[in-house]
Amino acid sequence: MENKSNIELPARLDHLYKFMDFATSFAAQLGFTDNILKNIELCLEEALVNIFSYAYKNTTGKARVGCLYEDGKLIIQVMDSGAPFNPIAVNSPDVHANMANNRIGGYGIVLIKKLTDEVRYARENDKNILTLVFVKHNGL
Amino acid sequence: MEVIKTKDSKAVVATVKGRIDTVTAPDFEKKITEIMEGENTSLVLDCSDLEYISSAGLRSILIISKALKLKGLFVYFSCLQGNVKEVFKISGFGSIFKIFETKEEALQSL
Repeated sequence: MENKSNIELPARLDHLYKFMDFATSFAAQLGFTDNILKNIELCLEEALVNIFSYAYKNTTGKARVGCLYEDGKLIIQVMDSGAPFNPIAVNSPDVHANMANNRIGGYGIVLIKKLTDEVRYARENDKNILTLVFVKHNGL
Repeated sequence: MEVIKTKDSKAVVATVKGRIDTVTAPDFEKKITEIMEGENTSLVLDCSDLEYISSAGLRSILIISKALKLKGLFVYFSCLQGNVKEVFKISGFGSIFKIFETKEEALQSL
């Protein structure tokens, strides 16, 4: 199979599953375990929902998900042309404080940070580029 | 996503099947709210058939939990599986909610 593929669709919730199916199918063909496939799906949902809600808060546009496999690593790039938004810079929530007051968000980025092997953000050519890296572990 | 309600003398048991993600979380919240309407016992969420949860699902759980707390009621969890178990652990939800290996253990503790 090709070791590189991408999909571009309007950045809207009704396309969420199409983006997720695209990335998990790509990873499944490479032999990633079910557990890692779930992590990929989850991190991608969190990244895309941030784009739908924040980068395109006041506008509409497209999101692009690109998958590349090299050197035993799946590199997923999530790109949009919305407002600058760096999810990695968002402070992690304190779950105990969240129970006590009315802040109830912020868990998405915690999940992304903990379930990827590497995560990077860049703003280039008026685009947000979030890179999620998953290492394929063999024989575990 | 499907929610099935059964009643025990000590709690309402809701068995959640499928996925709680950004698409299905509003429906999950609505179904649990309907299930708990007029109830005066706590809620056991049995997750043996819950395959996937994202942060949208975690948010729904916090909202449900806060609403029940106003009535002096609690949410307990049983049978967390694979990915769902991991999400509870890394988000810290495992330390703020009571989680049991089985539904029976959850009910016995009440």
